[in-house]
Amino acid sequence: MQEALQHSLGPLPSSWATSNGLPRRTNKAQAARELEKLVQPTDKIPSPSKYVIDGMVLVQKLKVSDQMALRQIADAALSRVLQKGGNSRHIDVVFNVYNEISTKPAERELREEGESVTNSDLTAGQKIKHFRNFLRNGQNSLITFLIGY
Amino acid sequence: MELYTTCGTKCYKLTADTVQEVIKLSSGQEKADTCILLHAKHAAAPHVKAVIISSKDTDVRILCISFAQAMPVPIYQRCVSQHQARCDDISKIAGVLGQEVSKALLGLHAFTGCDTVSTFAGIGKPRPLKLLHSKNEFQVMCQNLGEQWSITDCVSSLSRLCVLCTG
Repeated sequence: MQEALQHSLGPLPSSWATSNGLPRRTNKAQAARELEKLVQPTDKIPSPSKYVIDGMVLVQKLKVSDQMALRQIADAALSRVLQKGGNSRHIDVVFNVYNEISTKPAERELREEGESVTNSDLTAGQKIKHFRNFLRNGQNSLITFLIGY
Repeated sequence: MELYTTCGTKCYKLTADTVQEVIKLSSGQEKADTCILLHAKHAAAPHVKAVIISSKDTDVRILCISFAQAMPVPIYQRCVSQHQARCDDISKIAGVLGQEVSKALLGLHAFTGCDTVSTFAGIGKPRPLKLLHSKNEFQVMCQNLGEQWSITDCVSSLSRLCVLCTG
């Protein structure tokens, strides 16, 4: 037994990695909750104010059916941006940059997001079936379309 | 009405009639989280009273608190979940934490686990946060973490932090 205990149980310490070698995930929201406790939420925001929006979160929250053409999705996205921006006359929408060489594919793999259809030449009348699946790999072309539209 | 939007590494300013590339908002940052700060700083013109960041991401919150001191106007984070909308005064949170802890928060967040760094099993975020509050040594170390490629100077302090977290 003494000799057996001299050897590690796996290639990576179990305190850092799961049994299949992937990084142990943390509950990041814990940190946000701890910090939230320090102040009361507010609804009094001084004016004039400017808005910066996480673009991909906004697109992911759009209610899109298989019957909607891309022009309708673009209109819905713009309406949502203007609605979120409220009275602000200056709104920034910031998207992720999707590089081929990146740490993000590993992150997406951890989130069990699989392969999906990608179409780099989108047209305004085109309908995207399974919008959620398309978003997984088609963000670059979708964002380019939204900006161009 | 001015709408600034990123597309890959470029940024465009859209008005009712024009589309114009904004060179100073070009960024190779892969995640929107860090790019949002660049846009917030750009948006914080002298006549502006507040910049509101619409994102419920924890990384965005940590980044905003860490850089709140560098922002010329108050920053607010608006989070909308399924059941409620909440708006927090990030500059106020940074004020409560104090400058040293706020600046150290980013290093601590990276070390205790994020998207690209595994976490230590059984150690969450609250205990390391309390230790950061209570020990100046950890504040200095976490501020330095990531500033240099070499972390040799931080290792002994990081080890003590791990021991205290598990103990």
